[in-house]
Amino acid sequence: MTQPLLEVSDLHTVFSTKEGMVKAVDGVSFELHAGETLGIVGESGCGKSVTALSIMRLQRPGRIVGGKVMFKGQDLTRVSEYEMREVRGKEIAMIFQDPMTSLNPVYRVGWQVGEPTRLHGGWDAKKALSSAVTMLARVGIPSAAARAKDYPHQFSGGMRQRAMIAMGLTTTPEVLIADEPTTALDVTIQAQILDLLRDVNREFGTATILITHNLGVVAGMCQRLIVMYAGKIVEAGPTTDVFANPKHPYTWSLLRSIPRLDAERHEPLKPIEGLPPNLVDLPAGCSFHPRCVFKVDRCSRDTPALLQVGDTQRSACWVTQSGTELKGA
Amino acid sequence: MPEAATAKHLTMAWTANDPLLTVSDLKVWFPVASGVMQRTVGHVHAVDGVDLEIRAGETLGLVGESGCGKSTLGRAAIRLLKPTGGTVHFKGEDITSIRGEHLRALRREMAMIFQDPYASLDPRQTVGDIIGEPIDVHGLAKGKERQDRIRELLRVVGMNPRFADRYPHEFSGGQRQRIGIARALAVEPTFIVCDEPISALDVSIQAQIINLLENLQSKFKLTYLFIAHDLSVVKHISNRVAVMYLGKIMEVAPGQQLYRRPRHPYTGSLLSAIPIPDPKVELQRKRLILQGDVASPVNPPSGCRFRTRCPRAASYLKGDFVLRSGRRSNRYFDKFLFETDPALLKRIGAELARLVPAETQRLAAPELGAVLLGGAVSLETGLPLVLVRKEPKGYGTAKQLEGRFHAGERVTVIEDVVTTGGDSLRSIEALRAAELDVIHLVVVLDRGEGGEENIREARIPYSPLFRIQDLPLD
Amino acid sequence: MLAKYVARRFLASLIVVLGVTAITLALMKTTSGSYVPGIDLNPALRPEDIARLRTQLGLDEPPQVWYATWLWNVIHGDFGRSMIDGSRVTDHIFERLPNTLELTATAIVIGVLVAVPLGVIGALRRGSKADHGLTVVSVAGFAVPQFWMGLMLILIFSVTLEQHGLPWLPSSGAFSAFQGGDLLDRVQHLILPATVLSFFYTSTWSRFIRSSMLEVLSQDYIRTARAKGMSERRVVYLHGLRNALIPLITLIGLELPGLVSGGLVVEVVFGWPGIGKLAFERALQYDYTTVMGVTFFATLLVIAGNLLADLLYGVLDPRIRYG
Ligand SMILES: Nc1ncnc2c1ncn2[C@@H]1O[C@H](COP(=O)(O)OP(=O)(O)OP(=O)(O)O)[C@@H](O)[C@H]1O
Ligand SMILES: Nc1ncnc2c1ncn2[C@@H]1O[C@H](COP(=O)(O)OP(=O)(O)OP(=O)(O)O)[C@@H](O)[C@H]1O
Ligand SMILES: Nc1ncnc2c1ncn2[C@@H]1O[C@H](COP(=O)(O)OP(=O)(O)O)[C@@H](O)[C@H]1O
Ligand code: SF4
Ligand SMILES: [Mg+2]
Ligand SMILES: [Mg+2]
Ligand SMILES: [Mg+2]
Repeated sequence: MTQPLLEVSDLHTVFSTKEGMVKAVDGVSFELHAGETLGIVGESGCGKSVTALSIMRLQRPGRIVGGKVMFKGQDLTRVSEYEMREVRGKEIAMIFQDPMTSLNPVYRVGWQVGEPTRLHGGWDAKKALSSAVTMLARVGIPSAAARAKDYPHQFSGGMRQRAMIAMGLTTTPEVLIADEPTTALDVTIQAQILDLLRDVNREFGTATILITHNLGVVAGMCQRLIVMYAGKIVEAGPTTDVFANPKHPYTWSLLRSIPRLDAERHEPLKPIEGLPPNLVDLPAGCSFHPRCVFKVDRCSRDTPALLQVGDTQRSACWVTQSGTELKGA
Repeated sequence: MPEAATAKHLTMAWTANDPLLTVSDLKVWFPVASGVMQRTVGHVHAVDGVDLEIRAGETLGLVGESGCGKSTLGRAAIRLLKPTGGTVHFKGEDITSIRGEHLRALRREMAMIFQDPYASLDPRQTVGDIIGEPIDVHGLAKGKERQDRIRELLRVVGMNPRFADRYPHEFSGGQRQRIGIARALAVEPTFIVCDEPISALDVSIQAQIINLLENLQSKFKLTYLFIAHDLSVVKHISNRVAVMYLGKIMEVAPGQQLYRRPRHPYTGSLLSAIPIPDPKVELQRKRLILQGDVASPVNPPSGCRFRTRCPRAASYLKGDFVLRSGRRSNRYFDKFLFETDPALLKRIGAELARLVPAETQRLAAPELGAVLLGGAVSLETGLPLVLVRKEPKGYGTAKQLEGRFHAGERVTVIEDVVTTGGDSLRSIEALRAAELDVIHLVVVLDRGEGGEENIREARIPYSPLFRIQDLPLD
Repeated sequence: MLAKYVARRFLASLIVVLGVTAITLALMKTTSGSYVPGIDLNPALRPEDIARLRTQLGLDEPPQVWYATWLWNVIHGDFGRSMIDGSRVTDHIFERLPNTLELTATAIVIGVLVAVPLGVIGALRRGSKADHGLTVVSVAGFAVPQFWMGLMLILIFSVTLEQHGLPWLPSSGAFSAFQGGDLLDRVQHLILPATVLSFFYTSTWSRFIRSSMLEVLSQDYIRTARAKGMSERRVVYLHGLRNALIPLITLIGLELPGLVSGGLVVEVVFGWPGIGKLAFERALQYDYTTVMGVTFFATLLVIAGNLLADLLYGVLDPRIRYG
């Protein structure tokens, strides 16, 4: 396999809060290869956004307390703030969950979309604007030249997210991190945006990290998938394999708990019992053990590491690591 | 008095086989006020002529995009809102404009569960008081009996009865939603409107709540109107599903049938937009991606409300659509919005027809707007119309031809609005590839984005009908 | 659109002006008894003269009649003559108004120029020593009465400095009576009152900017700006500040009445010949016509300021469009 474009290893990011230390990212490791789309799924608060923000070193007030983020031969956790700025928005671009609030309300869309090229390419305002217009048209904003003069509030949610994507692409970055880019949007608009992201990936070859809590979105978009739970990666592998044969009880249960549009018969859902974990007060051993139907004695004592299970997947589970298949009633 | 007597009479006439709730031609409009004087300048047509029946014991699902009027419909159905027009019958009784004691009695039969489990519970009340409130309001129980009921309700929704003394902030979203459900059950209703009860919950918790609602339904013989964005959830929980768009119901069908054979193009597009959590299915799916945004509910499109986004609008073409006189503030829609104004249509159709060379054997139109214009010309000239269809993707690539034609046939291409000319060039290319002889181009030109230069390159005579910027503003 | 908006605002303002002047009159009537001090006590006047004067000045009419007459005259551009010195009220006002405008405008400009950087620093270095220092200073700004601060400044910068033979600042008036009135002279006179007046606003506004800036810096679009790789300074000043300033405009608009009344105390303490001082002196003497005239103008000033703030708001915040 070729050298990964981005390699995160044993990343730890913490927040100090009143209730105590929150280990929002607790030893996360993964690789991103050129041109691929990698999905990160998990429920809210499991550390997806903080992982992404830590790669960009935008995790404040959180602190990166360990690990490495290797990108083009340098460790992004160690480079100077100045060097980091050269990476942000130029080589790694990021778009966010809420397109309604992610654009500055007092500047024109075209100006904002052109800003990265002014910052990084040293382009003058006119050139930046014309590239912004081209890019806006490219992401499907009709009458882009006229719409570039609009303010964000004159755009609909879908158009704002398109504008955010255009903004990310003006500098043709190598990595695009999309943090729940469609969560705030209607399904029909979500379909438009996902289609655009697929297209962008095809046309520009931008490697994409797609963060979502929607397993359906991952299924249609990502070649590889990472499942996070309570700050840790619990399972990783090629999307088809993980869906066909999940190697972690959390993934396994999650897939059985969601209704499918194409279900032939009405079958009762099989929910995951219990509550999502509280990061301030995590259970000992495997964080999932209070909700896990496969747990064995050692699960509540020892924390499993993320290890190879089967040919293509990795899983952090004592039971599957010992060779047991996940099957259930 | 006679009125009450009639109502009673009707109540008696109603049998359990009749629909529990019937909504006919229901309208809820909200005034849009503007300016310092807050003058009403229009109305949001939130619900705009809805007919629905909900049968006793069933779950009727209601899906649609944000702002299409689902919550408003749900609220009007249980008279939390007074409808602007139409009627609501509950158990055969007309409840559209009942008031006072009568309405209060009705409230015991109906309840609502809200989307946001954080905002819908008063943070200063204990869980017991939240659940006890409807009991007090209707004087259902007092003292120890009341406490027992509250405890029982907590047990029913799967929570520890001891939680009655705690406050909402001590609970997670899923638990709060259970409290909200317990509150709804407190009056022992027969009919519950569930307004996106799981949208705000974590994925792993949603199934718990869905199952709870299903269990409660069979236990207490409840009837649900279940509102959600997510068609897969709605399909799972509902017996029948109603699809709503811009204040109107587009289609109602049993979930399975809706999925297998959507009868309305909007349902088809909506289904196609829902991701399925299975890569094998997802990677092979044919996607039908809707363009653009939902039109404004203040000025809903005439005719079918969906036509501004409908991928099959051409087949609805009656010939009476015209290009909207380009409104400046709404440039996005310049190309795609069409209005039924037969007079203006006739004028534009006639003007266009004048520009079509006489030797033309067939007209070709590459996209929705052009198809509509082409339709107008067709009517005028009697020439047949070919569609040159784009992939259902705006910035699309190749074009496909649709319709029957013969090699060497002479065609005139009708374009709606040429911005960059890309579309026109692609359609000419596609027509030529199909060995048609493109002899002329009739276009509406948008202001300077290089479109005119580009189509010149195609070396085909063209006639601009008018320029967008010359159109009268409205 | 805008013209319509302004026109509508103007109509609304008229109602305010009417209300304010009517209330002023009612207040003076209820507190003053029924005569102008001085008329009765003047030994040169005989009782019948007094009676004649009272009738002439309309003092015996019921207040609503007096008000109607006054209003009628005002509509015709006649603000009447002072009951004390008989000169035109408008002359008084136009003589004093420039002084008031000079003082308040200076104070606002200083206030904004000082408050904005202080507020931004407080927000950026939240919890630092500088931030705590600023908090203390601004709390002082609220707590210290303006007249006291004025007196202290006079004590320090005029009295003490003069006693030690150092260059000192004038403590009273807008310019020196003797050979004064040039620019330097006026500026010297302006320094102390403007300092007092702006101090109060600086302390309010810097707090405000600080919290407004903190709020803005936690917004998503700031994160977007950072993710584009711009320097923190650019993030703060280009993307943050403009958003943070928008609410300040309204605040200043809202505080304009305060500027006139706050200006009153300062004008009195520093003997600044502005309309605040005029109103103060004349109110003590129950000079109805002058007080009413001044009230009328002060209200207009406040309304104009508010309107200006609204319009500025619209310029800064594209989401606001007047309809
Ligand atoms: N009280 C109100 N005043 C004015 N307009 C309203 C009011 N309530 C709803 N609307 C408008 O009516 C339309 C329908 O709103 P409604 O809340 O029913 O939508 P919905 O389908 O439930 O959307 P969502 O999925 O976002 O909950 C929207 O355009 C909304 O802005
Ligand atoms: N129904 C639609 N709703 C929203 N956006 C659309 C729709 N159809 C097309 N678009 C978008 O509008 C842009 C311009 O539309 P169009 O396809 O007409 O191209 P064009 O620039 O006008 O080309 P031409 O000059 O050939 O007409 C496209 O890039 C596409 O993203
Ligand atoms: N600014 C912050 N202060 C304290 N805790 C934070 C902060 N930002 C995130 N966290 C915590 O870090 C954890 C992971 O958050 P996040 O990465 O945003 O989750 P998600 O997976 O939903 O994106 C959560 O427990 C969250 O509460
Ligand atoms: S380690 Fe144990 S508790 Fe954790 S997921 Fe595996 S079986 Fe379940
Ligand atoms: Mg997140
Ligand atoms: Mg709703
Ligand atoms: Mg076109």
